[in-house]
Amino acid sequence: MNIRVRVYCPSFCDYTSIDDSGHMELPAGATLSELLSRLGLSFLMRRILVVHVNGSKAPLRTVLKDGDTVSVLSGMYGG
Amino acid sequence: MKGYMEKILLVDLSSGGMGIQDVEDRIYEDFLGGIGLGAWALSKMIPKGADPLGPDNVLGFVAGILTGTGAMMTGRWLAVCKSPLTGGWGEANCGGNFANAIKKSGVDGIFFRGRAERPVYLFVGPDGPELRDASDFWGMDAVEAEEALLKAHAGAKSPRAAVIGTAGEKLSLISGITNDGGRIAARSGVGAVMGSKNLKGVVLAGNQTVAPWDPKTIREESKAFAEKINKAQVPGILGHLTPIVGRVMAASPHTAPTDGMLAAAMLKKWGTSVNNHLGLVNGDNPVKNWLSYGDKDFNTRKAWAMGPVRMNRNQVKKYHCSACPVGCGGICDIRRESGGRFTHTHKPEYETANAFGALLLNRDGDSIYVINELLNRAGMDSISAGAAVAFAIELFEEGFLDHKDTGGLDLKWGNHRDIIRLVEKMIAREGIGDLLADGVKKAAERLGDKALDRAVLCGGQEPGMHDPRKDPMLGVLFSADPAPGKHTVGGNYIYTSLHLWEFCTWAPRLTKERLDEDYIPNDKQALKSVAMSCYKMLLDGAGGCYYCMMIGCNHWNPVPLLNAATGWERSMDEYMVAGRRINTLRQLFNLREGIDPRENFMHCRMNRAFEAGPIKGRSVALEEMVSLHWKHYGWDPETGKPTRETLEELGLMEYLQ
Repeated sequence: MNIRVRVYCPSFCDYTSIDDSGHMELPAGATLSELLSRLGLSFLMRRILVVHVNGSKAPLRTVLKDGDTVSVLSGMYGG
Repeated sequence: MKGYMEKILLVDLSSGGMGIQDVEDRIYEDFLGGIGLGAWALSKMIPKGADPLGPDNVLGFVAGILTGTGAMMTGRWLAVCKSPLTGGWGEANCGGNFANAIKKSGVDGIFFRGRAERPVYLFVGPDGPELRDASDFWGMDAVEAEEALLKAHAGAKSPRAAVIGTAGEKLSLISGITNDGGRIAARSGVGAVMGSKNLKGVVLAGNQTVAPWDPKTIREESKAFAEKINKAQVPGILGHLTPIVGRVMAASPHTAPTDGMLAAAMLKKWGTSVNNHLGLVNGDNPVKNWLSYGDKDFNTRKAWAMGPVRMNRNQVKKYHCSACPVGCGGICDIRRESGGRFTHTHKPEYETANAFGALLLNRDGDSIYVINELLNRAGMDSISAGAAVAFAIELFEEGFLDHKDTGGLDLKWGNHRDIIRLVEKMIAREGIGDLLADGVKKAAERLGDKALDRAVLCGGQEPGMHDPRKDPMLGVLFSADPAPGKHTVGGNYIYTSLHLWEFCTWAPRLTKERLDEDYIPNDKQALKSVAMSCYKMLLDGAGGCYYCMMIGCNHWNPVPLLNAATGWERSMDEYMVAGRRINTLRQLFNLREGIDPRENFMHCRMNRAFEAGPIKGRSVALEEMVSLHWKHYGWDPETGKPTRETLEELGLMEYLQ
C-alpha cells in the first residue's frame, strides 16, 4: 500500500514525482531520506537542508506516514 | 457576542464634544472592522477636498474584528486619515499592545475631527472618554511622552498609549504614531495629521469585554496554531548562511509553493532582519537610491554588519505583540553603539536596516541602531526618512547640492556619521533637514526639475524596501494600491506561501512554474494580484498581522476565526468579496479627492532593467499588468475607476461622488 505525503520544497528540486496538488506517493515504510532522494537531493544536501516533518525537525531515517507534511526550507522574503 | 463592539467613538477636538455612535451590523457584514470600518467612516465623515492638515480631516484609530477575541496574530491596529503625503487615502499599521485597548474601550474605532486650541490627549477609562490637557507632554519625544502619560494613569488598569513624537508635533509629513516605546504606525503621514489636531496622545484603559460568538472554536484554532509555531525551529547556524540562501533563490529559474511555517520559524528566531543580507544577495533590496544592486556598489560579502546575527547580537529581550506566538520583536542594548546617548532600542526592522543601509551604501551596523532610536523617538517613518536621505545624497554627489546647502554635511554615499547628523536635522527641522522632513516629493518640488527626476516615489509616498524587478506583483501593488508604495501588500513570493488557492475558488493555483511567467501580463497573473489585494483587505479588516500572509492560510485561516467571532457562516469567497469592497471604497476615496490612479505608478527608476546582477534584465510590464489588475477588480482598465456595474454589485453606489 502506498502513502501520500504533502511536500513543500525549493524550486530547484526535481518535481516529477510531485502531483499538481503538491503531494508525492511513496511506498509504505518509506523514509524521509528516500523522499528527499526522489527530489533529486544528494546525500550531502539532505544533511544540510532544513527539513521539517509535520512542523518539526526530523532525522533522515524518519518513517513517513500517510498524510504527513514534509517541508524543505526554500527561502525567505519580506520584512 | 459578535467579536465587534458595534460602536465607534467620535471626538470633536474643536468643541471638545464626544459621543458614541452605534454601528449597524450591516456595516460590519459589508466592510468588516479595521481598515474597512475606517474606509466606511472616513468616506462619510471627511468632506471632499478637505485639507489633510486642517480641522476637516478625520483621524481614526481602528481595530479589526478578531482583535481582542483571543484569536492569534490579531494584535494590530491602524491609523487612517486623508494623507498629507499623498493627498489621498492614508493608513498606517502597528502592532504591540494598543490594538486590544481600543476594543476594551468599548468601541471598534476612535475618530477625531477638528483641532484643539491647546495640546490635549484623550483618556478613556471605565467611566468613559475625556479630553485632558497635554501641555506638559508637548515637546517630549514619543518614548518619553508615552512613559509620562502611562505614569500619569498608573492607577488605571493596564493603560495603553499611542502618541506622537516631536516629528508629528512639527507636522513632518513623514511622521507616524507610536506605541509600546517606539513601535510606529509610520506611513502616510498620520503623525502630522495627529499633530495638526494638537492631539499628543490617546491613553486607553477601558474594561470592556470582547465577546466572540463561539469562543471555544477561537480557543481551539488559536491553540493549534500556537502549538505549530512553538514547534517550528530552525538552527542558529542558518543566521550565518542567509547569503547562501539568497544566492540559491537568485539562481533558481522556477518558483513553487512554499511552507510559510519555516518562514515563521526564521522570523521567530531573528525577526525581520533575516532578510537584510539574504535579500541583498537575491536582488530584493534596493541599493543606492534604487540605482544599483548588491555586489555592484555594495559588496555583499562585506555586508555582515547588516545580517541577522549582527542585528540580533545586542538583543537583551524578545517581545511579542498581544496574541502573537511568533514574537519577531526584540529590545537591543545600544549603550556602546550610541556612545551612551541611548540605553536601548527596538531591534531594527528590515525596512529600517535597508533604508539606512544598502539604500545609502552604509554598512555601519552601529549607525543603524542609533538612527532607529532617533526616528522611533521622533516618531518618524524610517522608510520615508531613508529615502529622503538617499535623495539628498544623490543630489549632493551629482553637484545639485553643496556644503552650503547641507550646512556643512558631507553627504556622500555611506558616510554614516553625516547621515546621522542629517537625520537629527530632519527631526529638528533645521536647514536642509527642514526641506527633507516633509518627504521626497515636497523636497523635490522645492528644488526643481532635476530633483524631481530623482524623486523615487509611488504617487507621493516613498516606496518600501523591496525591488519590484525581483517581484513584479509587488510592482503592480506598489502602483495600484490606493495607499501607494506600501510594502505590506504582498507579492509573488508571498503568494507562494499564502496558499489562497486551497480556500478561494478563483485564486489561481500555483505549482512549480518558470519564474518568467510572473512577468507576463495575462489574466492569471492579474487574478493572482487581485486575490492578494482582496485578501490583504480581508486581513486588515480582521486585524491580522501581515505575517499571517507569509505563514499562509493553510496554517492561519481567517475564515473559521471570523465565523467563530461573529456567528456568520461565510466562505473564503464571501470574505474575499468584502476585501474587494473595502479596496474599491479606498479607490473611490482617492478618486473623490482628485487622485489620478495612474499618477501613483512607481517611479521609472524602479523598473529600469539592470545589465547584470541577480535581477539582470528584469522589469515589470507595468502598464499592461496594472490595467489587467484593474480589469479583474471590476475597475476601468484604462483609468482605474470602478465601473458602475462593480459599484452596484458591491453596494457602493452611495459612495460615488
